[in-house]
Amino acid sequence: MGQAQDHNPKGGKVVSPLGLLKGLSITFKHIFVKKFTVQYPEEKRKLPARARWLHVLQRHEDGLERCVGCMLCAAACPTEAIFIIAAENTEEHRVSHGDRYAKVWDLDLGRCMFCGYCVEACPEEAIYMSDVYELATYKRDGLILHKEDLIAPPGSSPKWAWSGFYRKEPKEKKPLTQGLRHLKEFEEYLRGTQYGEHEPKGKA
Amino acid sequence: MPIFYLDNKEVSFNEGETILQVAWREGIFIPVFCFHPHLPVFAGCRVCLVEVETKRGRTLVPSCATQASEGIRVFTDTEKVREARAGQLEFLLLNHPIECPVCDAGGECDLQNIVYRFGKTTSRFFFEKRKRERKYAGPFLELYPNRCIVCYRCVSFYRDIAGGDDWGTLKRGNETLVGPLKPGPLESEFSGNMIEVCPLGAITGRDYRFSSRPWEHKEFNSISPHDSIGANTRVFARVGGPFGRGPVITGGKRGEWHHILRVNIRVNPDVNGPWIDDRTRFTHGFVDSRDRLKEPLLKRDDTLRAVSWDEAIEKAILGLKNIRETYGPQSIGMLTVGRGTNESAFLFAKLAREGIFTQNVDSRPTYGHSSLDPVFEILGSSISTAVIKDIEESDLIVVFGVDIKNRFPLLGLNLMSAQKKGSDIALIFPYLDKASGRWATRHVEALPNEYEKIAFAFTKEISDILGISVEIKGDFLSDKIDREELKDLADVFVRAKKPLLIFSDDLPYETQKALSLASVLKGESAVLYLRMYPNGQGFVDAGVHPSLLTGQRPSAFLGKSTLSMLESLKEGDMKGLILLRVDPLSEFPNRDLTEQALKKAEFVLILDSFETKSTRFGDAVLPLATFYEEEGTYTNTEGRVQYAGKILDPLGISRPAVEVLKDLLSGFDVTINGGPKELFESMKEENLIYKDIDYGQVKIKEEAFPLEIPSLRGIKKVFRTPLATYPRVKKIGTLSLSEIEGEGEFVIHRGYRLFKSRCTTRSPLPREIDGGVGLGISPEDAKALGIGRGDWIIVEGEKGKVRTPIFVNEYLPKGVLEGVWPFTDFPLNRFIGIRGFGWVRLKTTIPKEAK
Amino acid sequence: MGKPREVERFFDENSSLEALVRRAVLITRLDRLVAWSRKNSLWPLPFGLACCAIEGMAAFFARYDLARFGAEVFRFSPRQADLMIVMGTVTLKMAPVIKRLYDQMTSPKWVIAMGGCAMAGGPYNSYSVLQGVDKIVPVDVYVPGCPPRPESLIWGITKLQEKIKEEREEVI
Repeated sequence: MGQAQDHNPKGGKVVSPLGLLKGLSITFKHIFVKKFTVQYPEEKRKLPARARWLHVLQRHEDGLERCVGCMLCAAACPTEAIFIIAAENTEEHRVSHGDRYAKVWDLDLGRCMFCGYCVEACPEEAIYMSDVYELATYKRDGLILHKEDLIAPPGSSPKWAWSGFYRKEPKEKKPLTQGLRHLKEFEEYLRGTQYGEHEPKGKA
Repeated sequence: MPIFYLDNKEVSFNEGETILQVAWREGIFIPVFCFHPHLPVFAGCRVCLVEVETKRGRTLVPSCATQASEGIRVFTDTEKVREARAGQLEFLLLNHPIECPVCDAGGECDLQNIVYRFGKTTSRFFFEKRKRERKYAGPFLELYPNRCIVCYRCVSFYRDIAGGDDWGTLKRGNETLVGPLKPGPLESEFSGNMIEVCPLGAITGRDYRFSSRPWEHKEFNSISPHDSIGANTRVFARVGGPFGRGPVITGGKRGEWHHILRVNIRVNPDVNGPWIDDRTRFTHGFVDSRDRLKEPLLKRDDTLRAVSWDEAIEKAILGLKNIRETYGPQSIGMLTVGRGTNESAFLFAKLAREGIFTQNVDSRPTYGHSSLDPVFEILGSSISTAVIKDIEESDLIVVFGVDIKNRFPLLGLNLMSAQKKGSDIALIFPYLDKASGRWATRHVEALPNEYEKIAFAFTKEISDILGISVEIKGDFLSDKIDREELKDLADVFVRAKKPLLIFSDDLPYETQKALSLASVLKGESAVLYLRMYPNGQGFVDAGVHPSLLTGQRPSAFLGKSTLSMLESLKEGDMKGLILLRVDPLSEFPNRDLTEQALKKAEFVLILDSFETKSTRFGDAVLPLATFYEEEGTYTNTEGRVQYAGKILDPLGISRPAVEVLKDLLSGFDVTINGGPKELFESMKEENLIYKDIDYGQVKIKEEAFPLEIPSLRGIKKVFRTPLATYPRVKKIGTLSLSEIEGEGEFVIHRGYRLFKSRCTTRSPLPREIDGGVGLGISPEDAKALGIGRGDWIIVEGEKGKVRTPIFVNEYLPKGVLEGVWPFTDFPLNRFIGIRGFGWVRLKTTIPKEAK
Repeated sequence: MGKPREVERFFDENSSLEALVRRAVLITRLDRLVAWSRKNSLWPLPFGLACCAIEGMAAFFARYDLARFGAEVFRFSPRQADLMIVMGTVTLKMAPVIKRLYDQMTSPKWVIAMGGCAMAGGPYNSYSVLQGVDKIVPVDVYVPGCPPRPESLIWGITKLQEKIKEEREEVI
């Protein structure tokens, strides 16, 4: 193919058609290669397990919200995209466990950079990042999602936010018997000392 | 100076200083929980342990309670100290629920910070934590005994500083429980300080509850808008958009992202010291009150209709000019009370004297009998001759006719501390209640109709003892007054080294004059002249006064006082009225006169932030921004010029008073340009009282706290505000008492409640604290009439009848009734005359069912 | 038994002229036709400013193949483009350029803001960054993400197509 390099557009040596054919052969070969294009709206690629897209506010098994409105996610958010107003639970209107719940939990998707720091910060495992990425809107206001848009439906089972990457695998909770064993040891220890005659307080 | 060795470094100390104080000053941080620089030392938490080398070897001592002594060697960061502190913190955390996410103090919690820095990462405690239920602790506080680490700071504050006795500890040891000792609201008016005294979130405030986090809100320096003490505050507000920055989706509307969250202490040793009262702390919701005026209104066909600012200003100027051209400038009166900035007061006086050319301008709370100023006549300036801090140095204090607890609560702290130092404090008031009982050592019972007589008799006794002849006219030596007691008091007053008289500017004219004279007679004595309204002093200084021009220069031409203005309006001699931030119907005595005057007036221009009882009489109503929405300077009752900045945007299209007054002035061909600073400078040129005051210093003059405190909330800085210089030429005047109207069955006077005022009634506050609505009655009278709290009664006087609910004030003497000011809902000021009292009969009682 | 019912109906329905016209001729309004053709022949002006542009490129090339939506003709001259895709951080220095290029585009024209920075400044609350490209040009579709996936952009473009489809203006 050395001749091609000497090619002069203003007339000169004629290029051998062999090169052209050789090039086209690759093109034609691809007619028989499996289609590479993802037919997107109809066909969707499966995202990795730790893909971080739209947030979901999770619920406990009993249907109460996990979020307690502590505002730590808002504090952790590097783009100040989360806005929370907390309120107090009452006996008649109980939203979460404990005293406090998020009355307003707004997320500005326009600012959110899907970094997952909010998930990291959450002490209650209340936020989970789903794989919903079709989020385009016509209006800037439409990008502000409220708690009502983000909350998981009642009865949905909570998911671990993610594990093994930033956060350690969720440890198994210490079985209660372990604590009791310690208590027993403690009791034995007490019995062995001069105070041993006394019954220790608490449940034996 | 003696020295000792702190971490092998030579440091000098003053005799009596503790190791902790020296270490903090030297920049070495020793953690503390139970120690607070303004509270007595308790030494209970033991996290401030340091190692001290003594002859018997090294030992751990609590540094907050150990005084430094010559040559000792102190180590603050050894292995032993670290271990001891970590162990102590582990113990403190044994029963502390780690519920920081739901705790209000999360983010500004001393326990969090100190454990993070000095504590262990894990706990070895595997038993169940002690659990305690949340507890009711009065209307403002929420108590979580579960979180408490029993540092005793709150108990120490409440019992030793605030003098309360219904907060304390129950049980002992592990079971120790800090909390209220009685059911119901807390007695003390300083209970809110416990929120800030608590190193963690065991005591939290209801107003701030769950609303924000310390990193979310902005902090502003402000002052209290509720009394003329002007306590310095730090206001925390969430301002701006819901997402901190960027497009504000809701267009800057008021709402949960644009409001005041809480008000905290700012230490100003000259004014409020390190504490503020509950009214200052919890009353900030009035900015969003439902009856705020949001747009200008003009009267058309007897109804007020919203219009644009341009139209309203134009119509207001036109209305005033019409009156001026038809009846002359003196037919326009300008009424206000001390509410608003010094700058607005300055422009208000300018509008009167240079715009409209009227001398009829007044800002004094009661009508007064005269255009002259009683205190100005005797003391040379209409201002206290003492400052607030002088209370603690006076050996005899006479509190004359002022309800300290309900009107100037912070003075209670000063009086208590004076009493502890051994001062003799006399209260001349109808009754001695529990709050005054904390500091008063003498009590002279004075019925509201006897104030003048007592003041005259007191002055007379003093002049007799001192042998100075003073011309005192009038029949004041009535039999009802206990002259022996007064003689005794006068005797003590004359013999005292540094006596102090405390009275307020809403007492009758003669009383104020007599008391000022008493102070002049006894040369060493001083007067603390309390202004009833928050910026009453600033308004008088600015010249909103019928006989004093800007800068308290006496005017050659006497204008009309409020009373004569209203009378002239009623008679038809005056035609126009401008009201600035005042509701004369419900605030002034003699309601019928006020009502007739307002009805007769041809043109009434109202500048106000709220819709009030008087608003319907306005021909033009211009909405103003409230305290937290405008910036400016305020002068407190001792003449201290303080700055409060703008925190929120004005509600609706309301505007700051200064801007509106500038517009009105431009209609009268007076142009004022420039921002707040330029305005202050131009005010200084005319108002020579403020000539030495530097605007920059007023705005912010902070000093580091004497101890460099890295951790304690809120008290890291000390602020100071400059005092204005007043001319003081004292002279001995003459007194004459005009006749005081007769007798009747019951005497009714103005009573005050801490949470009843223009701003407080408009703030959402808990319901438990109302403390009485309508008419207060003594227990004996209530028993005799067979009525109790919540019953309704008909009060009958010369002017007519008023139906009102009653409450029993257990301290009121027999025959005395108390109408709670302001008289918004029940027009009891119909009976109260210009001397602050009136005679009534109680006619019929209506049983509960019938109302 | 006769002919099957379906066949019968076929002949019945297609026997008239009306039915023939209905079957063979497409009747539409001109504006709809114009909108339809506009939506299927978007000529984007890719305004790649930062990392979002990389994802944008991924959307344009073979794997996601924007050509399937008729939007493959990239024009780097504003005169020939009708869709500006702003991809990435808009600095204040770049803002006038974007504005000028937008003004130079021929009407009708549309703008997609892709990614947090183009929408609202993203993490850069800085003196140098424009807090949202919608402050200078009217944005039709916002595509959130940091950066958005190519799918997200394609979703945005299909949303824009829907919008264009509904647009009605007088066409003469």
